Amino acid sequence: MNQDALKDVCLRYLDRDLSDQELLEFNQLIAESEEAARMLARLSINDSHFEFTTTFAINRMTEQQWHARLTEGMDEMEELALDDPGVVKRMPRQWLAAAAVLLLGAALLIVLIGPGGDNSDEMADGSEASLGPAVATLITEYDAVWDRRPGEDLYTGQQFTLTQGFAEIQTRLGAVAIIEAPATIELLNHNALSLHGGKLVGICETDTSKGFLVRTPHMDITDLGTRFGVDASQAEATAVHVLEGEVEVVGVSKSGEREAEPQQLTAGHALRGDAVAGVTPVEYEAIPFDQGVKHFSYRPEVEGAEAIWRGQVSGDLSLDARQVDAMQVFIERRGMRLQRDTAVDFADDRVWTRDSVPGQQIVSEGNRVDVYLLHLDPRGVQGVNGEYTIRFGRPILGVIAHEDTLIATDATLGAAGTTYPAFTGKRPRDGGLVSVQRGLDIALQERASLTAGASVLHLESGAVEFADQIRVLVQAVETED
Amino acid sequence: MAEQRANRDKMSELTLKWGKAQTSVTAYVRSIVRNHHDAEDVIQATVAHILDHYDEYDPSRPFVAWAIGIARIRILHFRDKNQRKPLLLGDEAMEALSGAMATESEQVDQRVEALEHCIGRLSEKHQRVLERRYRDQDSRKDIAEAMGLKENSVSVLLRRVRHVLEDCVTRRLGGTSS
Repeated sequence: MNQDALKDVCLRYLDRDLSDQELLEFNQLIAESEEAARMLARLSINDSHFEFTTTFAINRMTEQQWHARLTEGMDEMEELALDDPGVVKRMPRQWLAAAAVLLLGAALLIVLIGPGGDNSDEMADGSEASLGPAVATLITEYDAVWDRRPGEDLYTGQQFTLTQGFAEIQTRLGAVAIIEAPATIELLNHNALSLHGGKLVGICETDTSKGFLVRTPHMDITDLGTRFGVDASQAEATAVHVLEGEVEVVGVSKSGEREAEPQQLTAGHALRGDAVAGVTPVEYEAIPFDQGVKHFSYRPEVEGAEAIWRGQVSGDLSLDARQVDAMQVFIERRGMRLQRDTAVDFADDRVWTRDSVPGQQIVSEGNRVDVYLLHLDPRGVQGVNGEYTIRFGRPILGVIAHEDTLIATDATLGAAGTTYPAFTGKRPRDGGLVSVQRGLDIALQERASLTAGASVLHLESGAVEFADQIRVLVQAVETED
Repeated sequence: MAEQRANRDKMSELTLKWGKAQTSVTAYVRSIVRNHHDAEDVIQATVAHILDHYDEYDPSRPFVAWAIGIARIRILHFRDKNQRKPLLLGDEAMEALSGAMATESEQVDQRVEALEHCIGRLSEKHQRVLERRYRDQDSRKDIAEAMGLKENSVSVLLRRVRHVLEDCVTRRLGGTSS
């Protein structure tokens, strides 16, 4: 059987379109021919991928936007909101004014601290005593093998090696570096690092982070407000590809001397530097850098799970809220039958407050559920205090609002094909670090309650800077397949 | 606290591993279990089994192969409990597909990357039909009505698009898939 015929019969099989006799023959073919089995495997993987439309893009972008707010004014906050459908459309004027004052104050603090000036959080322990100040934070990692943990501070002069996977680092001035193994990096200051081996995507979307420097053996790359990819995986050469915006490149000779004249490089262009030929143009290629970016969801729109917004609400779900634009509702699963008893944080008429944390309850095996993720997102402002009423139209069987319970159910109840951002660890704020978490933070007097009949969820939440998430299990409508 | 932290770390690690394996495991189960809802149940039972037995996983072996092995056990369990719902593949073919799926999974990241590139090169109409069928899970009948086609034409079109995509992916992977 030739390849085309083999593809066709596999596709018809996957479409359940073979007759009984053909199915018998197909079984024999798969059992006896490795080539046929592998073709079926490939086409089946393709079909699965079509359903898994990439990662959840909630929204590390949000943090970028928040950092942008540090130095940009109120007017641009509104512009940004209008540009991005995921961002708050119109914030109340008085709220904006208050937020702007707070944020600009925070910006001043950070800018005044400047490179080398921040000693507030350095020297976490004696082993770091020989290092300089803390200049960056390890935000998160994906499939990473190294001796670091998300939330850790990184210090000037500190060198570390990522042997597998990806890691995301944010400098104190807001530049983000997504690093792909195998790579060794060293922090140089609040907005610079050196890269030996591996790949890096630099993302500098704030005024404070402009000037982010990546030093490699063959070239120095300085960001001028952009995204760019650096490929240092070959020992003999380094390449930089500008994905958006512009960078400045200075070639470095074998003896370490830097070229006198920097080269400007704009989006869609690439340069390669090596010790012999110096810095020369090469063909631009964005794809090699997609892998790292997608793990950390730097995408401006929501993909994967279905997003429901006010005005586009479908079916029997409705959403009333004072700050409705700060909430997204994702459908993670439809009509899923629970294969085991599932622990949730509350499941009947309960109120979750600072003083009243319900113990875990169980949603029983056999229930068929739709699973929703409520995503509360400050999106470019310091915080949102909102009251939300979400009517599901069908009984709510369970609510998951605690960090650990969320993590424990991502694999079983989360949207297929989704990599959930951690939203956990420590993040820079006001020149220091604050702890953040993904679940409801009762210390902030957040509150969730179910009403009698339990088809309505009331929520009072004050998501501050980073997102809060709540997972809701709703009884599914029984349908014929 | 230390135990809680260790559990959380373990769960995070497992979630990451599952995130990488689930396309292949899902593909495997859906290739064998006829009904979509039944397949979803088997996939969920597979995840639950993996959660319960993660301590038994030998990290020196590929996680995806281990997960496919568990999916196979769950499929057989499903078959035993549902005699009136025959599987699409018999034992020998199922075993052959297990091995093939594990092999193909070794380069699933490259495949997915190539697939995304190839999807981007499809016409808007072909992208839309793919999205409606797979992402939105619209029925062929609904797609046919929305696009002014006959239902059978939608099936043929979907098959043609997937055929073209696989050709494109194979070329992009340098023919290593064939």
